[in-house]
Amino acid sequence: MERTVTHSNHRQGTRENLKNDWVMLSLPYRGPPVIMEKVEKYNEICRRHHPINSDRPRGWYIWVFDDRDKMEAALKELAEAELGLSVVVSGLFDEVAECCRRIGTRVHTVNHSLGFWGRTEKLPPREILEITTMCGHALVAPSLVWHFAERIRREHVSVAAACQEMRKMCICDIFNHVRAEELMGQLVNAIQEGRLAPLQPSRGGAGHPRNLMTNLSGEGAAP
Amino acid sequence: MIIKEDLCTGCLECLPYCPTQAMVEDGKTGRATIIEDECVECGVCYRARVCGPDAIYPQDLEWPRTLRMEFSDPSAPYMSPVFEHRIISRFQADLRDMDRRQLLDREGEALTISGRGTIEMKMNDVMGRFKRGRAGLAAEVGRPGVGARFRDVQTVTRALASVGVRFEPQNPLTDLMTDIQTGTLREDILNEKFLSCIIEFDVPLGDLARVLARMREVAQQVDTVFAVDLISVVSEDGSIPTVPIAESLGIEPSIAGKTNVGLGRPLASLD
Repeated sequence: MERTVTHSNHRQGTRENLKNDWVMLSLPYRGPPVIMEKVEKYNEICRRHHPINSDRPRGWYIWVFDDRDKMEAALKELAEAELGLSVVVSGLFDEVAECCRRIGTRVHTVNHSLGFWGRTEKLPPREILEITTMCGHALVAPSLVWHFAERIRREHVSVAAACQEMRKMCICDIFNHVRAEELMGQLVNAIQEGRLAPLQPSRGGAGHPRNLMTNLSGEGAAP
Repeated sequence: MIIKEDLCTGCLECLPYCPTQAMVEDGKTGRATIIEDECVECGVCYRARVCGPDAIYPQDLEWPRTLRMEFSDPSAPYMSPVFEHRIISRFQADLRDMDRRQLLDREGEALTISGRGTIEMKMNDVMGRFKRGRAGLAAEVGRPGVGARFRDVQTVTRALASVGVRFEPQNPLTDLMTDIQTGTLREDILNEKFLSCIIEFDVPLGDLARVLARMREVAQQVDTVFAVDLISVVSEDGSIPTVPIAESLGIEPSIAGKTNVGLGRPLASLD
């Protein structure tokens, strides 16, 4: 069975703050030497256009770009190289389609997110979700975002350091730390200005674990 | 995951890292502890290296708890025997001489899985898995970050089966079904909790509205959330046939998502 990933389809955000978030993946990533030569060529091309995630060896290569022009330049070069590998770009649909039109290729298949259904009250606020969904495997906990927002506010931890720590949780390294810094700054401001209330305790997802501490002692109300 | 009580200093720095809030302070000792039934074995607390005295460590897992790790830790290997047939055939001979853990040590990531789904539309240009006139769908139960139990998955699979959905056989979830026609899962796994389990299938475009409506109904019956994916081949004129169908139900497709940009060769037939 192939090792596959389906984790860049639900990155939350506004049109404005998604403009610096582009994830590029190529498949297959494994095979006979003739395929691996193409995979290496794909990687060489992407590296030339300054992706922001690490270049450490992984089972597959996913590159994150913080600028549409960089993504488009990489895509253009990939098209010209005629590697024949499938390439998937996650990001704003209309902008990706426009990039394809400019470089002379055509969008083939799309995967839309239809959002989150069910007990959505268990989800954290939009401001937190925009950060956590950049790790599609949900390894960046909402409580960690909240924790660092508080440390930035009270302990003067830098936004950059906080985002690097959160990025470490994302095994696939597709957590866009550049975008995270922007969003984290906005989150801290929202809390400072009272526009975002502290998270409420919820066993299901969003609450801060310190709010749950009394569960075991029996002294507090169950969430 | 386990916390060695004698090593824990009670700093509680690990608590915010847990995606499911299974790590809490023990009100009596002041130390961190893990609510075993809430822990999904994702390994975040362990990999974070946030514990100075290394009090957090993985425990040996037995079936069916192994499923928690397999559906929560993207770096986890297949450990459950139910998935053994999915291990790449070239390793079958090796498995006669060594157990899976030894094989994993030798082969590394080649034996690991992530996402628990299939290749879906990523290679649709060369594989043609999704044809014109059909829509791919997925319900990613537990995403994003809420987590779920297999009983929630079964609630969704049974609802989908009731409207004639056929589940994608390449998805490992089908190995956990006792009846693929009704979407019934094994009884012994229903309480196991995980971060995400993907239910995959495709339907004719003519059935899409009915199936989406059923998914919306069943969303009211689960104790979690699920993320919904809608896959479509793009028409020659650039239009996306699934979008107006979703919009007719008041469902607004996302402005961002995955695009297969059509660079794969040779192109597969979509008819």
